[in-house]
Amino acid sequence: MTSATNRQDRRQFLGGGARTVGAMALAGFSGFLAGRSGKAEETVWQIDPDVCTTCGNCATYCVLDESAVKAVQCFDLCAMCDPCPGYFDLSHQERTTAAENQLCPTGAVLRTFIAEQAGVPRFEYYIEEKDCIGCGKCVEGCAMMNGSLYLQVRHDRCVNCNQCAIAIACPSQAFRRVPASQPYLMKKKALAATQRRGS
Amino acid sequence: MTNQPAVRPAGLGVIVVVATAALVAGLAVWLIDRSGGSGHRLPEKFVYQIDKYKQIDPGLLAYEEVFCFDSGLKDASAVAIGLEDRIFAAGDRSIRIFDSRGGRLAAIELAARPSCLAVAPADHPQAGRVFVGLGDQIGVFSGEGQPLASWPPLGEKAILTSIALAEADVFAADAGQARVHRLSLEGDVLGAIGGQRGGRGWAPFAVPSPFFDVAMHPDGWLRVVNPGALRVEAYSFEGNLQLFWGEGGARIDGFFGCCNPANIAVLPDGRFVTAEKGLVRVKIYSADGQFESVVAGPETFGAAAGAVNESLSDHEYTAVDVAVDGKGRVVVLDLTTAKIHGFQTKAGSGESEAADGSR
Repeated sequence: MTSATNRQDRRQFLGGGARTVGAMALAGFSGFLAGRSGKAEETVWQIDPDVCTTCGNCATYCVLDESAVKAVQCFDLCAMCDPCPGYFDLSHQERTTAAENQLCPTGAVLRTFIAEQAGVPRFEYYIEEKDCIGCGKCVEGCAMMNGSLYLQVRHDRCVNCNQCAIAIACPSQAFRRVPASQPYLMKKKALAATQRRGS
Repeated sequence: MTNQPAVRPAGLGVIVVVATAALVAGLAVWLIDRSGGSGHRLPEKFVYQIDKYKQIDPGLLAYEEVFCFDSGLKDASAVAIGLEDRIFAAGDRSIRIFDSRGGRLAAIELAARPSCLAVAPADHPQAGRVFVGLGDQIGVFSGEGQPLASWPPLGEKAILTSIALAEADVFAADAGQARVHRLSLEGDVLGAIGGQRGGRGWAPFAVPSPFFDVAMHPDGWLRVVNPGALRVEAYSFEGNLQLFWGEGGARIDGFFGCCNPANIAVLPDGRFVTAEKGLVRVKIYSADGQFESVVAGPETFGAAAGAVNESLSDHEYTAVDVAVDGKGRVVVLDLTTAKIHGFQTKAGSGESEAADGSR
């Protein structure tokens, strides 16, 4: 039996129902907005070049047949030297582009004569990405001097796995997620060199 | 006895298939290296093989380490020898002076980071004076550390990396302008070798990094390292090229990489001590540039040159500075660890007579 004081009339029932529906709509709209802002935080994999040790795992642990990791060149750091340690093999006999003199086994590092300066020829070095397997051999050679070459995940190839196989196999934990809007990382000193040039 | 056909128990095939699948899956999980622990498995040709160049043939090592101590500097930049074989180590914002056993004698406090220094020898008109490169200008101090003069800046882009003293001239290597300034003992600019204003037909210098060294030689010519050309060049005071020597290459008689030697010093008998950066090697060359022996190799110094899985910090600044004392001992300042190492010829190595200048 229901007492007279607890009895709810039609007006109260409709009012309560409207408040409940309003609260649900508000929560739903907030969730929609949160979902939209979450999309802006989409991230991709990238190598922190200041942490990378060029262990070679990038070349073999990627799920792709040909790794998404490639060597890249920071031209602001490159001294454009003729005897480039990132281009010439340690045991090279002469400074020519003959395959036996090159450090890169796939010939992915290319050099072009630019000018003669101080009696010494200067060359531009760049990476032919289709030939690069991401082994980092040139990066190690270059790091013995100026260090303008380093490894990066190329996002025209990377399939952005949730669990990147290279990131798991990376001994220095150089792989990290970065905003998709800024998918590449520069070395700290490369960034400084670029900023110096811009200023 | 009744013959009955063999009856296969129901479900055995399913059990066999499931067991095989489980075995294969287990093997796969066991064999697949997901952590990278088994390495990259790349063929040898994809591996940068610097290690064999870091190993020095013991037969070529003609020196032995006789002392090593910490300079206490955080950011070491240069070393020089003063009167009575005192060791001057520059870095941070000071110069620290040690005796030849590592005892700290004094310190000179500076307003800026010293990039290079030279101390006038006993037979110099200003014996004991300390000439310090402070970015774009030279400061002069007495042997006791009293400031005597601060010479005007040598250009907006000047980066002084080395100072050499002749009887009446001071030579300052400027990596920023790829030029060697010639100054009087009072700081007046007398001329320059190399650089844009040095154009008299001689080849100026290729200086890809802030290592550009000069030294006076007993034959009266100035020695200048042309690092981008991987050679040591001799110049008259007027800037005329007299001779040069040096070859590139990772082999022991060459200069490694793009730009070496980073630093040089001259032994009392005119032979050279060279120090390479990147692959840190301190070596001895004859007065006419023939490779003779090794003072110390990469393993001696704290630098992780070419170290795998250790650091990819570039070895541009993995370098040492060298100086020679009156007894022919080679003093090395490791710019990475700020330690000072002293080397003298091994007894019976055939080098000991040469070290005191008698060869």
